[in-house]
Amino acid sequence: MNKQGGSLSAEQMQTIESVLAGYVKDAGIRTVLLVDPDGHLVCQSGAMDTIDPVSFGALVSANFASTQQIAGQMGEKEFNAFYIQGKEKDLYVSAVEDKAILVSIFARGTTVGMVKIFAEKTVKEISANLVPGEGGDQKGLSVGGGFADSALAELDKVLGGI
Amino acid sequence: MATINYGYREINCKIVYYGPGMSGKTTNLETIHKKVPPTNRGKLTSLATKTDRTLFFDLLPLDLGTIKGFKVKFQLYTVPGQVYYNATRKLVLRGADGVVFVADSQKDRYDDNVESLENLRENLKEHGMDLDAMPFVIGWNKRDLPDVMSVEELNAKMNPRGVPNFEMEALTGRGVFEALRAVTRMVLEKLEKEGTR
Repeated sequence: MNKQGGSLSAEQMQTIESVLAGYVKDAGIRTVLLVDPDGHLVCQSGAMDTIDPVSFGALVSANFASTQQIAGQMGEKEFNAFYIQGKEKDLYVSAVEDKAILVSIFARGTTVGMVKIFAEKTVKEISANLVPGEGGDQKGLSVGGGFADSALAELDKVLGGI
Repeated sequence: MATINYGYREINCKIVYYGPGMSGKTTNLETIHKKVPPTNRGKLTSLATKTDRTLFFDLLPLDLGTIKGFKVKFQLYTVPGQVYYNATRKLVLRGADGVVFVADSQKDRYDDNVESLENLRENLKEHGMDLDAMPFVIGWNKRDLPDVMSVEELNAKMNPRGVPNFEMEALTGRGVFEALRAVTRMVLEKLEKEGTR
């Protein structure tokens, strides 16, 4: 997976899951999501509570992308992270280079500085596991022929009422 | 671009509905949202102004279920059509696997359609993408209204490549499914052939 799309192997996913689970525990945060720059959810850990991780990931990704445009207009090359304070929960979003976005949600009272320190460590660990081309990027899907036809048959069922 | 998560055995694709303001992009997603069983879709998220004009995007996640061992998921996005929202349109286009262009068939909207199509081409180019090389279909929307251009004329003027195109009435659903099906087929066939690069 990279900024141009791509793929992740089962081994990479296991490593990332383990890193995220460790981050939730060590930093004392409630929820963490890893989202790709196109808004697709890659991985999640911790409690989801009221969060729909798919739409939440897409919203944060869009939000992060817009902050990059703001950075550009301010003459900054990029913003690596931003923090939003709520009444009960806070949000900390940090870039995993240009490969992904780490989204951390934590309760008020959690030390923000600690979250940032652990997030930085987590970003480095994840970044090392998101090397383009090493996640099974390949020409064509290894799912056998007729994949598109099978998927379209499912789509027909799903949209049958239209 | 599409992502394949071999760990979760999951494929994610992104389709963007593009077109001039008030052409029916959001209505396409609302119609799909109404018709698709809740088990196959997520929430329809809309970032809109107080007057219900799209401010950033609408998002509808679709889940096609498990196909040949892979969970296949699509995210359908709209862009804000109004000219001055170009920065956000560009952001939403990032990573698109396919585009549905929703044109307004009314004669007095022709120039807006042309401008939006040209804008789409330019914005894709800024992302290093080429409209002529990606899954792309057109919906001629609002066919139920009076004073519309003929589909022949619209195709002659706006669709010289002859990409798949459909007469559409987004409010009733006419052409909505056909357009989505066509672009989905093109995305999946491209993915099958080229992988994620």
